[in-house]
Amino acid sequence: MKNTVTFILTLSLILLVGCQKKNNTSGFSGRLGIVLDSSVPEAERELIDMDLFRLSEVNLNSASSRDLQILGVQAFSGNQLTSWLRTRVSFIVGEDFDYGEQANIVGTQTYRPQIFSASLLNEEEIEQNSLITIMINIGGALYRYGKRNNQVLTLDVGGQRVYVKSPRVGVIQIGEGLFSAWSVKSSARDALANSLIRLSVFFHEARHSDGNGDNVTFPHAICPDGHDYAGNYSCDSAANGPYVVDSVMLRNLRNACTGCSNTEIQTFKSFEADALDRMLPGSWDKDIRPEQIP
Amino acid sequence: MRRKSKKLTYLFWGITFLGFTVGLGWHLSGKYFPQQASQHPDPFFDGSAELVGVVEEREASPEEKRPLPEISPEELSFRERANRVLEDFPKKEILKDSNRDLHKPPPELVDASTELGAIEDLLDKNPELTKEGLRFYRKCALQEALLSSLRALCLHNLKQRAERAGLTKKINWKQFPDQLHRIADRLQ
Repeated sequence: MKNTVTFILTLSLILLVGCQKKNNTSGFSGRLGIVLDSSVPEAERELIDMDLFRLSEVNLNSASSRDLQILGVQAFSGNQLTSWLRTRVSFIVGEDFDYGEQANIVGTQTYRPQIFSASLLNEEEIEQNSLITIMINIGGALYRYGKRNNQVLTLDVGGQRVYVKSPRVGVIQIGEGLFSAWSVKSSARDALANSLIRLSVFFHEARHSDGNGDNVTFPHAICPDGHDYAGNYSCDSAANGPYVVDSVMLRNLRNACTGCSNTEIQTFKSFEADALDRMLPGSWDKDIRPEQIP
Repeated sequence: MRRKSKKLTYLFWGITFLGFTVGLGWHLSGKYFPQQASQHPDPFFDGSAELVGVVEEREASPEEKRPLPEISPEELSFRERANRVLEDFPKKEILKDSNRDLHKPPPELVDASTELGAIEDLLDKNPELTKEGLRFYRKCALQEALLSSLRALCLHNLKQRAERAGLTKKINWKQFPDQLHRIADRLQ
């Protein structure tokens, strides 16, 4: 009898553990400190881990001094680029993640945000804040929402409750399109070219975790008459904005794509041309320092 | 008798003066108002004004004004394929679809890039198709209806291929908008 009870309890425990979706911190992303929420499908987790691992291995000697200036790094090495990304991306959530349900208003706040200083921007602060995004930067969007409405929000993500007190909360939502519609058709999902193209999108979204004042989250600007995207918020008025970051990464990662086919190279270049076309004339560099509420 | 002789003298000088004046006038009119035909040997001007107008109203590209050179079956095949590709390339119109996420590049660019990759493969393997390739990229870069990003990429490919073939000076680069040049040059 005792053995039977013990067996049933053990079995129940195993089933409970097995059925529970897990927030992945064990893969390469976890080693970097990026939490993959349970809403990210298993197949996509593996690809993200692989992408980040490949990023950590690159050494992009083709970067110009202007490229370094735009990202604010000293070299386009794997170490510096993963660190740059890690500072702006803390959580990756899947397409099914319902931030409307997971976000809560926990208080009111008169927003008098301060700009992060280097001393404030430490690992502990980042751990306390956390992020949201898809190839949508949900964290940035929630921060803007809270700021506009004088509300402090929390978000339950990756098994944690995160206070949205800065655009650096860093929650990125990814969708299936990232692995299909925007991939080189003739190449496998895990091909180097597709990996590097996905990474460039991460860098674009990560720039939305920066900025302060009117430029908090580096919002896109409206495209002028005559432009392909005329009338839509699909352009950048910042010369160091998300589309510029995108184009810089696409160019440098393309140069690292050794053995890539003509089709893969043309795909890199067409995305790059699209990003470059979105930079408005007369753009200037804007302050990337992120603001935060006390 | 004397009066009659005087009248004849006046008549003689009058007729002589009149004849001289008419002759001089005819001479001068031929000298200062010559017939146009004698001054313009250009065959366009030999015919009627209407014919000249017809010739000038014809709209023809430089290629059409001279006899088309014979092209090989491979070139013809490439040209046919290139024309089909150009027809299928995504137009700016697709961006007007309200259900579209305009935050990211249109997915149609992926398909267009696949076609461009295949064309690049063909041009790499068949140097004799270079001129057809340049012709294709030029047409693509000039088509205002296409996505600007795609036109810029075509212009970039045109520049690269023309430089490799030593044909840079054969192309009128001013026909392409500055914005396309700016993007194309940054794709290096």
